[in-house]
Amino acid sequence: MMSVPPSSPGEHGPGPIGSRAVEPGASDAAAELIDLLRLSARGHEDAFTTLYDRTCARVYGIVLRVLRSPDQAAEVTQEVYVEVWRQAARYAPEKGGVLAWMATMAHRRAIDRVRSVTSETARDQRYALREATPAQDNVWTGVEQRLDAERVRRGLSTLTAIQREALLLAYFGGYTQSQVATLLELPLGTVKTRIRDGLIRLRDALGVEL
Amino acid sequence: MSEFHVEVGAYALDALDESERDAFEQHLAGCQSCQRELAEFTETTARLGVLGDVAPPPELRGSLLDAIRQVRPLPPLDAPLPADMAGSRTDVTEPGFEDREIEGSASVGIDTDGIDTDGIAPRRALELAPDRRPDVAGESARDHDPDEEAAASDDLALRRLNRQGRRSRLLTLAVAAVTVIALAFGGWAYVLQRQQQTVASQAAAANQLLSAPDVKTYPVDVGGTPATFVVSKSLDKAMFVGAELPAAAQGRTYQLWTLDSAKTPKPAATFPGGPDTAVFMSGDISAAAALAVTSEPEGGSTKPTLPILASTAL
Repeated sequence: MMSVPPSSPGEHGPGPIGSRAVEPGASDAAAELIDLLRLSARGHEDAFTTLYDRTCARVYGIVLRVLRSPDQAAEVTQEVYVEVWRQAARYAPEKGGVLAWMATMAHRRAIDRVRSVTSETARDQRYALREATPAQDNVWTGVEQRLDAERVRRGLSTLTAIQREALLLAYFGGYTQSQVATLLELPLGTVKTRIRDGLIRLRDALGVEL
Repeated sequence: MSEFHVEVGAYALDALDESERDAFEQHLAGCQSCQRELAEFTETTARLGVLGDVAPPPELRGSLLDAIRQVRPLPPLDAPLPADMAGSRTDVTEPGFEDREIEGSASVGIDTDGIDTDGIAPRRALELAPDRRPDVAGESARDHDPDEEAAASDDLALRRLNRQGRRSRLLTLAVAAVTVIALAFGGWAYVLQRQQQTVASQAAAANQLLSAPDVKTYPVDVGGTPATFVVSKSLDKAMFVGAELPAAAQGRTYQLWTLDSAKTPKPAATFPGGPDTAVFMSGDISAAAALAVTSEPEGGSTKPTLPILASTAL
C-alpha cells in the first residue's frame, strides 16, 4: 500500500537504531485514502468501495490472525467497515493515517470478540509467525505488499528475540500482557518493558514519525 | 502514576485486560507523552499488520455495501477536540459545551425526529453541574425566579393532569428529557438554527399532548423496564417515555414504529435509551392501530428487526 520510490532498495532501508528513515512516496497513497474517506463521509458509495478495495486485506488479515476463524473474521471485518462508514466524518488526520485508524479499530474489535469467548483453552498455546498469504492482484499490488512486508520483517530483525516474540504474541496472537508473561515464562514487568522497547525499535526502524 | 507509562506499548497492542485498560485510559487522558507515544505506536502496529495481509472472501464486498445502505454516516463534529480530550473514549466531545447556556429564548432549532442520536450520550449531559442547566419552561436549578409564563402554564397543565400522579410524572420526565436533549445537542444547535422550534416549545408540545382531551397512556414492559406510550389521536401525536431504559448497546439504537390497520410498520423515531427518555413519534398516529419499539443497528432500519421489544395495540 505504500508506493515504492523508483530508486535502489538500499537507499530506503531502515537506518541504524535511533535514526528515522522517512519513506518518500508513501504520502501519495496515504493522501488518496484521506480523500476516499472524505468522500465516504458525504455518502459516496463508490469512494467507499475503493477505500475498501485498498484496505480490506489489511483489516481482514489482522482480524483473521486474531480470530483464526474465517467466518468470524468476515463478520468482524464487515462490522469494522460499517463503523468506518459511520464514523468517516469523525476521522481527524492530525491523529494519524487512515489505515492506522482502521487497523486499530479492526484489531480492537477482534480482540474484544476473542476475549468475550470464555474458552481460552481452545486456542493454541504456541504461536508461529506464519507466512502471510499474498493477497489477490485485484485487491492488492503484489509487489508493493511484498516490499512492505520485507521492510517490516527487516524492522523486526532489529528487535531482540524476546521483544519480537512478545510483540507478535500480543498483536497477532491476541494475548494479554499477562498471558504473554505466562507463555514466555517471564515476569509481567519484564514483558511490559520488552513490548514497549520492541515497539520503539520497530517504530524507529520503519521511520514512523508524526 | 509513572508506573503506567510502561504500559503504553501493551495498550497499543490491545494487550491489556479490561480493568488494566480502564486504568491506563484514565492515565492516558492526562499524559501527553503517552498520547504522543501511543500515536506513533498506532502507526507502527498498522504497518506491522502487513505481515498478515489476506484478501477477504469476495462476497464480503457485496454484503458490506448492502449493510452500509442501512446506515447513515455521522455528521462531523462542529468543533475540534481540545488537546486534553485526545485520550478520551467519549464519542461526542464539545469544548465549551458546559459553558453554553441554552435559554428558552434562544432560537435553537431542535427537532428530535430529525436528529441523529447516534453517538450522543444523554447521560453525559446529565452530569453537568446544577447551576449549568438551562431554564426550560420554568425548570431551573438556579435560585432565581423561573420564567413566569412558562411556570404558569406548567402549573395549569400540572393541575389539570393531577388526576393521575403518573401523568404529572410523565410531564416532568418530558421536560427533563427535553432539557437533556437540548444539552446533548448544544453543539448542533448552531447547525439546526434554521428550524424555528425553540427548546421551550418542545416542552410545550409535551404539555399539549399530555393535556389533550383524548390522551391515553399505554404502559409497556421493555425487557423488565417499564415505559409508556402517550397517545392523542385527536392531536395526531404520540410520545414514548421511559425513566430507566438501559442505554442501547454499542452500535445499536432503539427504534419506534407505528403500525397501521394492515400491521405495516413504519419508522417513527430512534433514540439511544439511557435515563429519562421522552421521544416524539413521527408518522400517522391518528390512524395507527399499534405502536412498537425494537432494537436496531445504529442509524435505524427501514423494517423492524425481530423480536419486538414491546408493543401496544391502540
